[in-house]
Amino acid sequence: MKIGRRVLSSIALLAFVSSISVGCAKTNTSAKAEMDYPKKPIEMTVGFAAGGMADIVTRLSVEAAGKHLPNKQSIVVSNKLGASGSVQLAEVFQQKPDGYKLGSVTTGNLIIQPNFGNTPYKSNDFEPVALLNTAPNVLVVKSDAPWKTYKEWLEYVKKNPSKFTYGTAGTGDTKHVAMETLNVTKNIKTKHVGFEGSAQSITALMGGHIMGAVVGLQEAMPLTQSGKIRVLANLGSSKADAYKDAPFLKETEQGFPGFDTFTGILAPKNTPKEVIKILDEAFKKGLKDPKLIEELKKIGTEPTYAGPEEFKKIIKTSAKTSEEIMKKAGLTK
Amino acid sequence: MRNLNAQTWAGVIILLFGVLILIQSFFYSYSSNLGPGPGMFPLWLSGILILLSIMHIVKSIKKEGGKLPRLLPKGNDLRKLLKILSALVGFTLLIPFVGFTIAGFIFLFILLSGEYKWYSNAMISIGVTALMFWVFNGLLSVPLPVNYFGF
Amino acid sequence: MNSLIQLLNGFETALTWWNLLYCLIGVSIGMLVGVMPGLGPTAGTAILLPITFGLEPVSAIIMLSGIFYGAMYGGTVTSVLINTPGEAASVITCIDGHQMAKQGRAGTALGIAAIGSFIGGTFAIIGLAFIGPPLANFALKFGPPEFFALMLLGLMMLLGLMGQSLLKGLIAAVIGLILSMVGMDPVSGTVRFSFHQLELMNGFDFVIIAMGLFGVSEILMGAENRSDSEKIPKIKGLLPKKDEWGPALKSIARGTGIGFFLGLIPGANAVIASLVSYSAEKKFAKNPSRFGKGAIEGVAGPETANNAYSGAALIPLFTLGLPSSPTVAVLLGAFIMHGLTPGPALFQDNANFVWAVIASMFIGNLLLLVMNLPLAGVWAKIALIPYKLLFPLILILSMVGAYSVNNSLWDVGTMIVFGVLGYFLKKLDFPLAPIVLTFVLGKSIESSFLQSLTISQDGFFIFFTRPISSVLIMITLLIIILSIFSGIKKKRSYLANDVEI
Repeated sequence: MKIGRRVLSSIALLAFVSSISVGCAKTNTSAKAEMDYPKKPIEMTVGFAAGGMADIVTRLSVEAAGKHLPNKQSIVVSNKLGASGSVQLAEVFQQKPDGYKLGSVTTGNLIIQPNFGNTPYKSNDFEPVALLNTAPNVLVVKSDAPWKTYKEWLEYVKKNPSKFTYGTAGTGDTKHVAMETLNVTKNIKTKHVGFEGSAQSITALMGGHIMGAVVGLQEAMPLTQSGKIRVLANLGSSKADAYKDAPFLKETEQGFPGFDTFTGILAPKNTPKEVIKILDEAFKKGLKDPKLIEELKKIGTEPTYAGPEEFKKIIKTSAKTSEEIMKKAGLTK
Repeated sequence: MRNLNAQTWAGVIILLFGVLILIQSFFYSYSSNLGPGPGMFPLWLSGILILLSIMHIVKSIKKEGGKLPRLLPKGNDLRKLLKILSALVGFTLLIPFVGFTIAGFIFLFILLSGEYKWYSNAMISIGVTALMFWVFNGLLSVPLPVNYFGF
Repeated sequence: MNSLIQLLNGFETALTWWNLLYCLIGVSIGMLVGVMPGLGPTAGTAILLPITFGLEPVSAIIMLSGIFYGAMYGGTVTSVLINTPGEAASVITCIDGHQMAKQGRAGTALGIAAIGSFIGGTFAIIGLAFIGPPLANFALKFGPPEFFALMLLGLMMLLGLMGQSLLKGLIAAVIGLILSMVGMDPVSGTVRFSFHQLELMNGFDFVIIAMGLFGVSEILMGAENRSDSEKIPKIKGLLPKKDEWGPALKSIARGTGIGFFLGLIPGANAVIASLVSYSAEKKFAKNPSRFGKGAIEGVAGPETANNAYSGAALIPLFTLGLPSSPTVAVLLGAFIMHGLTPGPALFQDNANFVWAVIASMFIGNLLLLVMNLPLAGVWAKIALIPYKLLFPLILILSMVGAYSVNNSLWDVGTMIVFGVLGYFLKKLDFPLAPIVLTFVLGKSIESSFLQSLTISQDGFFIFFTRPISSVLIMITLLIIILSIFSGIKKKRSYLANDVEI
C-alpha cells in the first residue's frame, strides 16, 4: 500500500510539475523539479554477447557513469542477442520514452543493419545520449605474408584481381562494408569470406586458409603484440596510435570515408531533453574517470566521448555514407 | 478417416512441411558467383525430406509401421496434459504483466493443486519461486522480468 | 624436465589459500551453471568477468577457467536425471545415462561420468602443459575444407548409429538440418525462413530446441505414463559393478584421446567429440545391443570426451592466442583485460602465471571429482522426489533457463512449441537425438562448404587436393560403402539388433 501511494503521489507530482514547466518557459525552478530523475534503476540492453567488445565497453562505462547519476540510482545492463543486434535495438525502438529503458548500440545494429531493410527502425529513430568509444577496423595479414606495406599489397591486388581472400566477422558486418568500400574507391577486386565472428576469421588467417582479414583494433592486438600478424592499413575513421606505420586510408586515399565500429548509448525517440541531459552529464563525467581509462587501455582502446548533438551528427554522416557505399558495392539494392 | 493411422498423418504433415520449405527455397538464389547460393542447401534438404516422407507414408499405409500409437491420452490423463500445457502458456503470457514471482507462484500452484493441501501447496510455491528469484536475479545476475513494484 | 619444475612452482602459487578459494568458487559456479538448464559456461564466465577486475590476474583467470571446465561436469546431471541435455555435448549422454537412471543407477552414471571427466580433464591439462604448442600448430591446418570434411564424417557416424528405423532417423536428421538453416547465413548474408520475424533472424538457439524436444516433451509424456504411480527404483550404489570397470575404463581412455584431439582444433565443437566417442564405443563393444538400454560405456566415453575436449580447447588459446569457442573467447577477453597476451610469448614472459593457472586446473579437477562423487548420490536422490512435486519444478526451471538464454520470452514460447512437437514425435517413435545433433552440425556444414569454395582456386577439387580433408572424406566414403555392404550382407538380423539413437 505504502509503495502504491508513494508511486501515485509522485505521478501526480510529476504531472503537476510538467504541466507547469510546459506552461512557463524554462525557469530555473522547473528545471530543478524536472531533475527528479532517475527515481528507479535504469535498464540498459546490449545487443551483443556478454564478454564481447561492445559488452565490455558498455559495462565498464556504465559502471563509471553510474556513480554520477542523481538520487543514487544505478543502470542495470543485460544482454539481448539476436539478428546482429537488431532484436535488441528493435526493442529499444518500441520502449516508452521515459528514460528508464536505454540501449547500447554499435555501428553494426544502428547503421549497417537498417540498410538491409530487415529492421523496423531507421538509424535516426532514436535520441542519442552519448558516444562511448570508437575503434577503427584494420586490414591484417600474417607476418610472413609477402606484402610488407599497404602499397605492396595494393600493387599485388591490382595485378591479381579476385585472388586476395579476406575474412570478416560476417557478411554485412561493418568490417565487410569497410573493405568493400575500399574495393570500390580503389577499383580493385578482393574475395570476401564470411565467418561467424572475428575469432574464426583470425583463426583461418593464422592457418593460412585466407590471405587477410579485417578485424577490430582490439581483436588484432594480442596477435600483433606476439608478432603473428601485421596491420597493413587502417580502414577506420579514427586514427590508431598503436599502428602508426599503417596508413590511415581516410586521409591518404581520396574518397575513402573510413569505417569505425563505435559503441554508444541511445534512448527511445521523444525522450525528454532534460532526461537526456542528466544521462549525458553522468556519462561525460564517467568517461573521464581515470580508473575507466586505465581499464579500457588494457583492452586496447580509450573512451571517445561525444555528447547528444555531436553523436547525432556522427550517426547521420555514417548512415549516409554507408547507405551510398553499400549500394555502390552491390550489398544492398 | 479413422483407418488412416497416426503414422500416416505424421508423414503427411512432414510432407507439407517439406513442401513449405521447398516453396520458400525458391525465393533464395540457388547459385551465386561462388557456385552454390543460399538457396541450394534448403532446396536439396526439403527435396530429400519430401522424398523420405512419401516413403514413410507408403510404409505406414502398408502397416509396416507396426503398432498404432494413440496420439492423445483419454479422460483424466488428457485433462492432466491440458492442465500442464495451459499452465505453460499462461505463465508465458502472464509474466510480462505481473512479473516472474507472481506468474511463477500461479504456475506452480496450478500444477501442484490436487496433489497437496492448499496451504502446503502455497508454501511450496512461494518458497520455490522466491528461491529461484534469488538465485537468478541475485546470485547469477540474470534479470528476470519483474512487475511495476520490482519483484 | 624444466617444465616440471615450473609446474611445481605453479602449484606453489595455486595452493595459496586465496587461490584455492577462487578455484573452488570458480568450479562451484561452473557446476551450478552447468546444472541450470539454459545457462552455460559462456554466460557464467561473462557474468563473473566484471567481478574479476579487482582481483590479481592469476586469481581471476583461475576462477574463470574453473567455471569453464566445471560446467562440463554439471551438464551431465540433467541429461542423466531428467533426460534433458544442459549443453550440446551432453545430448548423447541422455541416451544411456537416462536409461541407467530409470534402472536406479543414476548414481553410477554420474559417478562414472565424474571419474571419466576427471581422467579426461587431467590428461588434457597434461597435454596443455607439455605437448601443447607443437600440436596446436598442427591443428591450425584445419581450415574450412577440413571442417567441412570433419562435419560430414560426424554426420555419417550419426547415420551409422541409426538402427532399425533408419527412415525415421533420416527424417529426423533432415529436419534438424533444415532447422539449422533458419536465420542469417553468415556467408551470403541472406536471411532465410524468418517469415519476417526479427527473433528468427538469428535462427534458433540450440539450448531452446534441446530443452523443448527433450525436457518439456518428457514432462508432457509423463502426464499419462506416471498416472499409475510408476515405482521409483532404488539407488544401487555409486560405483560400477565389478565386471563393468574394465569396459568403462577402456571407454574412458578412448574418450580421452578423441576429446583431446578434437579439442586441439580451433572451431571443432564438443558435440563432435561426444558423438565420435559414442559411436566408437558402440563399434568396440562386444555386445552393441546393450547401447540405448543403459550401457555404462555410453556414458563414460562421451562424458570423458567432452571434458578432454574442453581442457584441450585451452591449448590453442594459451599457445596461439586463438579462442576456439565462445566461452574461450570470453577467457581471451579476460586475459587481455588483465594485461596478458595469450600466445607463444605467454609461456616465456609470464611463465609463473601460466604454470599457476595450469596447476590450478589440476587442483580444480580434483576438487570437482571430490565434490561430484558424493554429490552424485545427492543428485541421484532427486529421482526419489515424488514426481508430482518434481515435474512442476523441472518445468519452471526450464522456462527460466530458456528465458535466460537471451533474456527473452520469445525463447520460452519457442521451447514450449518444440516441447509439443517433441511429444508427438516421441509418441510416433521418431528419434529426437538426430534432430538436435544435425542441428548443431548443420550451420557449420553449410558455411564451411561455402567458405571452402570461396577460398578455392579450382572449385570443388579443394576437398580432395588438401591432404587432411581428402583423408577425412575417404574415411566418410569408406563408412558409407561398408555400411551398405554390411547392410546387404546381414540385412535384417544386423539391423534388428542395432540400437536406435
